[in-house]
Amino acid sequence: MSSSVGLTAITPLAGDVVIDLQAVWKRYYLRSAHNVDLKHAVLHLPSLLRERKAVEFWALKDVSLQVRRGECVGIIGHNGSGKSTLLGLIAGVLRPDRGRVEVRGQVAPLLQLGLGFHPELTGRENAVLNAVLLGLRRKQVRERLEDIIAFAELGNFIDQPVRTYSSGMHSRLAFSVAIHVDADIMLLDEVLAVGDERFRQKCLDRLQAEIRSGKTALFVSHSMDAVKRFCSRAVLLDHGDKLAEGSVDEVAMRYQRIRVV
Amino acid sequence: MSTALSVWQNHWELVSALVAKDLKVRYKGTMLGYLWSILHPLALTLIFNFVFKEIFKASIPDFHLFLLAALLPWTWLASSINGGAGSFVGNAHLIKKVRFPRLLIPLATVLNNMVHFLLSLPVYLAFTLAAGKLPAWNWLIGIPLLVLLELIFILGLTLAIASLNVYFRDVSHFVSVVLSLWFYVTPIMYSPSMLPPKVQLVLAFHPATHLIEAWRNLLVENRLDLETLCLPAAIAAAVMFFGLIVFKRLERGFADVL
Repeated sequence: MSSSVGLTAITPLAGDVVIDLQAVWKRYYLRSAHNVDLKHAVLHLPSLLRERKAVEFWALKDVSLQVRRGECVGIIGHNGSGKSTLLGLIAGVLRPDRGRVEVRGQVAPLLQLGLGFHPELTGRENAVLNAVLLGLRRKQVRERLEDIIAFAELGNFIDQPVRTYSSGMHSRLAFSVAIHVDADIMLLDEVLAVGDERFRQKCLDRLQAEIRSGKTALFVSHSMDAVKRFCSRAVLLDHGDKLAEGSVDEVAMRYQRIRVV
Repeated sequence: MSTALSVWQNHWELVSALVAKDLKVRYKGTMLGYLWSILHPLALTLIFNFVFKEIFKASIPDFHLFLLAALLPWTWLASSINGGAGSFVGNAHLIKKVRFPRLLIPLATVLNNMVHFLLSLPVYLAFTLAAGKLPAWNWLIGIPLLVLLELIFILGLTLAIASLNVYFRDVSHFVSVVLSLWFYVTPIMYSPSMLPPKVQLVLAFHPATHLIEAWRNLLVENRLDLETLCLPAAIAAAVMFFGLIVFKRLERGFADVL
């Protein structure tokens, strides 16, 4: 069993463990009240409450995971395996239904690029807003803004509304903002899927440098290549279960097998 | 201590960044820009002034002042609620990705509309002076006090509505209908004393009445009695309390259902 994980770690966060998930369960309701209208809800309240219980769906089942400072851990699995739920729990936007999640340090979610960009605002305005959302002070943003713009290679486009950007420019700016936030823990959800090859390479190099300098990263991807390049360790999720944890090669092989099935 | 302070400072910076965004976005691409937040109540006043003075021959002196003094705070309330009802749903992408106090989202909407309200006050002052009247010193205490009360009142209401709207999207539609009705049952185009005593009694139970009346007393008659502020203050506190409870109970599931 490659899925053996240190379940002995019931003690508080040991040493330099920065992400600690203990037997975490997360549940969603597939047809909960938000899918029905008010009239229906009022008329069928008792049956709705009964239904709620019936159609629960466990997105994560008894998942434990420890990540140490400076590690890059790959999270692999098919669509709907629970990868994004896992990142949501670590980012602190979701709460576990059972189990415990502890995270030390500032988390920057570098997920689904361009989050919160407003199409009518300029790249510069969006960069400031985005950086503040990710936890920077405006003073810090002002200090780093030139670096952010330079890294994104947007030139004069930085003062144009974001709606005029190509998808590549959009993701370049988003990545640049997120990497300059300088968070302790980076959550990367398919971030490198966009952009041309040269810029992708630049981002990968930058990420590698950040990880070498002691940053922690969680890397969600369908593509094993990126995971292989970055991560020392990987976790395989399938239908909410942690199927395997171990070296990237081991886990990749396991992934190949469930892929066929 | 210093960490708590810096957390609050961070939240404050985030709110002001969100407010700045809303202010920039609202009039992006328009030629008149911020003038619109003044032009809108002015146009309404012109219309109502015409209807009431010329058609209904209302006998209220300086009817435009009478109207504006209530219409401006009302506009703050109505546009906050209209805009804030969908604020959690509209910012689902943020709620699902980044961790920050969700309360800041409707707060930014309410503050954004507050800025527009504050910008319209100099216009009101100009009208007052043009009508040959002078403001009194009690404006200096009264305006901040009433702004604070109204802020608490609106924020409480918006919080509850926006939270419910996450689970029942009908709420925002329902609310916009209710608001247009609410406009007529609030003493904006008339004053409660113009109504039969029975209706006055009903109106006294209506939570926004006292606040609007307090604004009109202050801005039209330069009157600020602290006793009459007790009731609106109590209502504002109660609404805020209610809003916070609804929000706290529903907030947990936001990221799950959005």
